Amino acid sequence: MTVEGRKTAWRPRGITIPGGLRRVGLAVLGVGVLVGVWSLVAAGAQSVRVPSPLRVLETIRANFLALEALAFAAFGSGGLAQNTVYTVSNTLIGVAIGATFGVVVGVLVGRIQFLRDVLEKPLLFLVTVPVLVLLPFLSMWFGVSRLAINGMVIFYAFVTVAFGTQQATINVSNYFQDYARSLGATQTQILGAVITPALVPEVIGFIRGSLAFGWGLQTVAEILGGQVGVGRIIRTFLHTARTADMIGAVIVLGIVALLIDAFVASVGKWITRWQE
Amino acid sequence: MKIPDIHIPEPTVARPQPIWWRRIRRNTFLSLLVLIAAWPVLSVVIGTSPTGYKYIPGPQDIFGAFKSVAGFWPGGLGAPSTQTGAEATYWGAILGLVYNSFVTSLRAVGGLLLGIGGSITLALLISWSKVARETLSFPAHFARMVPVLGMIPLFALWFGASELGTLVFVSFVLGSFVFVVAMNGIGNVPAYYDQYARSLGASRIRSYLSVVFPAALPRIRGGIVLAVTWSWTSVLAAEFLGKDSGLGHILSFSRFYGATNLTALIGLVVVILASSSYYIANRVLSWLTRWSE
Repeated sequence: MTVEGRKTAWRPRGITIPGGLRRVGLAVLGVGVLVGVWSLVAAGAQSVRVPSPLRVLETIRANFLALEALAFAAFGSGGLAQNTVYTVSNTLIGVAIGATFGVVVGVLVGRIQFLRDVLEKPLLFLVTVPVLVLLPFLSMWFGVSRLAINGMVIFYAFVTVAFGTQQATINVSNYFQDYARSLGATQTQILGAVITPALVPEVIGFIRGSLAFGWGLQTVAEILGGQVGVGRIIRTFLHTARTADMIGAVIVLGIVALLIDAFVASVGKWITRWQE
Repeated sequence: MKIPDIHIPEPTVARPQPIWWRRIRRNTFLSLLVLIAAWPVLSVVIGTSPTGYKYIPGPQDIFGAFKSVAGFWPGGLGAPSTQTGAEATYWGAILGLVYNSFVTSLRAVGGLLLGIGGSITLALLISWSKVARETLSFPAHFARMVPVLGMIPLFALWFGASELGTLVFVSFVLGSFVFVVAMNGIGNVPAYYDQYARSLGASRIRSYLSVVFPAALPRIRGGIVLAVTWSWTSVLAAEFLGKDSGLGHILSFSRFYGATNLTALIGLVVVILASSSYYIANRVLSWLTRWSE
């Protein structure tokens, strides 16, 4: 065997599947395994406790545009689609508001020593606060308004993004600022052309994290007192013991959340295409 | 000739400041003082709600609400339950606060251990095989995006008001998140770590447990710390909706009656417990990963 021969890795001969196709195939297989296990569990349990996947699909189709239970039990209107749009738009608005303020505050706290002295510790403290503690206050301050329901999402997104951005700004400043300054860059140039682009990958990560938890917070707020939304639907189904409908509502919101996360991740990838 | 006295001053050595003072910057201390001073002023200025409670309860309101916690003590140890007609006492309030804090903490810690332990074990087992990891990564990602907190009514339906239901719910909320973080952490360990260990004669399982998993721990650490904070949120959600004890139950009660002073008192206790657990978890994980940069 030659030296070159030793360097060549051994590969089995056979069909080679392209990486992308393989990943999709395995993801489909994963969903199949999950549905299979679910079907098995459902077959051995009462339908009211664990309904079958088919039954859940049926309820999604039936509830999609109109929901009789909502009109009858809770004097509401609309179907699963309309209420999902409400929950999704509220969550997105909440995360957008919280993240915008979070980025601004995070950059300022990371860059200005006085603000860092004053706000760094309170920010760290806010990160540890369980968000649900705020809900009673939000209800008392804002009644049943949209802000009362959305307040937890705004707060959570703000705190998460502000804290993360602040840490990232400090790290980025340490590494890149000196290089840029040694090349003659001004403070404005450093902020605009060095620090801001370097922050984007981390900020997108924090926004995705806020979104992932935001869906749950929004739904809980709606369960506890919302007039519209997926949480309100879940509450109505709970009162009428319609398990399949409840699971259907959660799955629809989960699919929309997954699609939005994929969209945000793609946009982030496109913005940070300069990365290695 | 008289030699003039020359006064040589003794060298002055700056008195070292204590470490805790050096850690706290002056501005941080001032901001805290301003916050403490502004709180009672804001409380008075913002006013009172139609239910008679202040929108922002001041320190005296929070202290005043303390006695009402006696209503959440089931009775015993010299303080009978107020539900039997007994009067609320400070001793009863202390017992009520300790009892409900203990119940909530127990649920949080139990769910946390079950959720983190279960999800990391599962992630370790699945990550053993690359095919299994890739097969389950999509369903795991989906589980992370599903509004798990909103699934609490489902758990109430499956488990009723039992403690098992609360434990399973908390561990499910935390586990679905930590599982994805652990899978990513293990998947992102550079392959040459394993290759070096194997080339030195380590078996596959030994390399996996002694090299790959410890190398993944710093990457999983952030997820675990976040899970600690979320354990309190998920326990409160469970107690809010279907328990008759715990701090979440008191919060739900105070929300129903618009009692901001009781809400603030319980909120303060929850925040102290959550911050302490965050601090402890951070210290323990720092110690466990002290070898990393």
